[in-house]
Amino acid sequence: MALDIGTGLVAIGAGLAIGMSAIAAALAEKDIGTAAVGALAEREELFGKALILTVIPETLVIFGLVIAILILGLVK
Amino acid sequence: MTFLRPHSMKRVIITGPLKYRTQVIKELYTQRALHIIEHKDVSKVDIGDPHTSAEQISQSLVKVRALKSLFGLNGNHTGSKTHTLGAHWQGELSEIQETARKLEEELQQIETDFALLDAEKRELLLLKNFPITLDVLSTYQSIDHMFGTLNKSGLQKVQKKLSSKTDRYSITAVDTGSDILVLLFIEKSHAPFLHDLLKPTGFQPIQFKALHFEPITPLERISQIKDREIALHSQKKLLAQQLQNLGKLKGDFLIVLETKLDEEMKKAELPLKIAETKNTFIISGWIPAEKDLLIERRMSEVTVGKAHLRIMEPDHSDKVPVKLENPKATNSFEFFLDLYAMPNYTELDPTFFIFLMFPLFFGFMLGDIGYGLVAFIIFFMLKRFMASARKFANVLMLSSISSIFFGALFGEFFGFEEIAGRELPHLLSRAHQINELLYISVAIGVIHVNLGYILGFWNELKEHGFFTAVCAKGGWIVVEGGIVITALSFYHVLLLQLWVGILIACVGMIMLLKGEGMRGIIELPGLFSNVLSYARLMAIGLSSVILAVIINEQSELMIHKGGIFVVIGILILLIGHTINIVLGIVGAFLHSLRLQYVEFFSKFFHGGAPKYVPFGKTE
Repeated sequence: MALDIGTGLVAIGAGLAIGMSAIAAALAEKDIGTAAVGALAEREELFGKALILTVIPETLVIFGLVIAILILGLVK
Repeated sequence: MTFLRPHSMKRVIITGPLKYRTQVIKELYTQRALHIIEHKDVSKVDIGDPHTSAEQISQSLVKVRALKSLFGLNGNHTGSKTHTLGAHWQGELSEIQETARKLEEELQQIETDFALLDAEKRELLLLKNFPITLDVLSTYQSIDHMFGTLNKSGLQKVQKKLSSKTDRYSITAVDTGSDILVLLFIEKSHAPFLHDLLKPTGFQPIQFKALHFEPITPLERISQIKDREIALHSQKKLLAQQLQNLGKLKGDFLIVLETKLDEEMKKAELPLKIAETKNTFIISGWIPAEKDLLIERRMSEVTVGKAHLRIMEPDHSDKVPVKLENPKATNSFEFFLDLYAMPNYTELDPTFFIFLMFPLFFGFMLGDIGYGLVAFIIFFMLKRFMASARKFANVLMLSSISSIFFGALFGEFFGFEEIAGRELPHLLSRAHQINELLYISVAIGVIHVNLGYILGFWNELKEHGFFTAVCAKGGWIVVEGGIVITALSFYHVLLLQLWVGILIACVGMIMLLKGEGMRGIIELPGLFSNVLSYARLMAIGLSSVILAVIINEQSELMIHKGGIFVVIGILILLIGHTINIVLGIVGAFLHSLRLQYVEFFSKFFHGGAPKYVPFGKTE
């Protein structure tokens, strides 16, 4: 199917919204994850808290996804 | 509703004369009610000395554990629970230990013999092609011998030079391919000459260390050794069998004894956790509130009224151990608090709310009839084969049922929305109604977050009184209300001036400032991110469906091609869905958990109390 240039740009925008927020989340999670694994090696009972701290940045991707869906909504 | 609060506790301090200490400890162990507070401040009163039997018990325990590991026993040994311990267990233990020691020594001797025979065999293999008997290699008065490796040219040179000096020698050479093995005999008087002769030729002498110089040929000796090895093997097998039989016979005894000794050890070492003066002991701890009279009566009975009990209601500053009290249907969800932290004594126990929301979120994300069924079977099996994972498996079995339920709502079966050309009935199609799904997710978020604020209100009420509770938690709800009214006025749904909503939101913020201080204001944007975070309910679900649809489309494409492609298509279907199910379960579990811990708990939960662990038999 042929896409007009506007639709293409919208798609690129949506992709960027997800991709860049995912990179941001990954960078944040990398550091937290490293520290969490270190803490777990010392005290295993911290697992619950370590898990929570590690997954906190994941919300960034969700925001990216919501924005992407909103952008895609422009193509009608 | 008792299950919303931790079990009521009472503080108890038992004081009594030292001579009743053992009886009191024994009784407390039987009652299994007292959570002991370890005595740490030794500046005024010291801790007690362990019971005199402690050392002996720990020695026996070491013996039992050594034997258990020797016999390869574990806790699941059959029939271990029915075994009763005789009065002469010490004698029996020593007997087992002695027999096992003897068997082990014999086994070790056999291993040594094997090593010696092996060394001898290696030396014999070098000699096997020499036409000699082994006794010629022993030491003589007038003849010397040498054995080693030499190269061809060296051999010729040595032979030539030696024959020019004397004829009283003999050389036997055997070509092994890479080297030449040489055995030389020579008169002792010429031995130094031979040594000098051999030095520059690269002769490598070989010493015999394990050889026995008997009047038989090397090959005969090798076959003797082989026979001996066979005999040793069967002897070793017999001994191992005996050891195994002993383990089988005494396994139950050892396992029961270990449990028993463990119990005794706990009792004997308890004095290390309590305070003792020269003539008295002081045990301090917590008991479930309803057991106060029972403990008081039992203590008085075992000490003939000599013990003094002080029972108190918990003080506000006390770190009361928490005993969760949930009905059987929901207590598996206590697993999440074990993983995170116990609520404080004055706080609400959130287990019931996790029971309501966790499976809901899980099912919403993994909403597929087929996936739900597979997950249910997996966790049903886990529960059957791993007793220790019972709580975890129960939680996920319930969550899987929720998956099946949502699968029916979404009309999905392994990603298919139609089966045999007929569309599955559904309320909402996840793959097509993405925006609706997003709105529902966020709506669930608003409800869940506000439920958190309501629970937080309750906690604040208990902790800091009505005014703080209204300001700190009510403030959030007022802010939300203000924002909603502003938005509705903006879109002319409500016929109000914009400033009305803004004013309400501002009032909410002032309440927050009063109740939670600056922290409340700083966390305001967090309200949006918390609610939006529930969009993951849509996102995780969507990714799971789309992956499933792609797997189905690809495999259909292959199957339509026919021939060998049918097999490939089926493989894509199997492997793809397996991966998607694993990803789906892990993703749905973690994200559902996170919504509880981060978005929900942060509204009301402080936690950090110690868990109630009564002194007594471990369950």
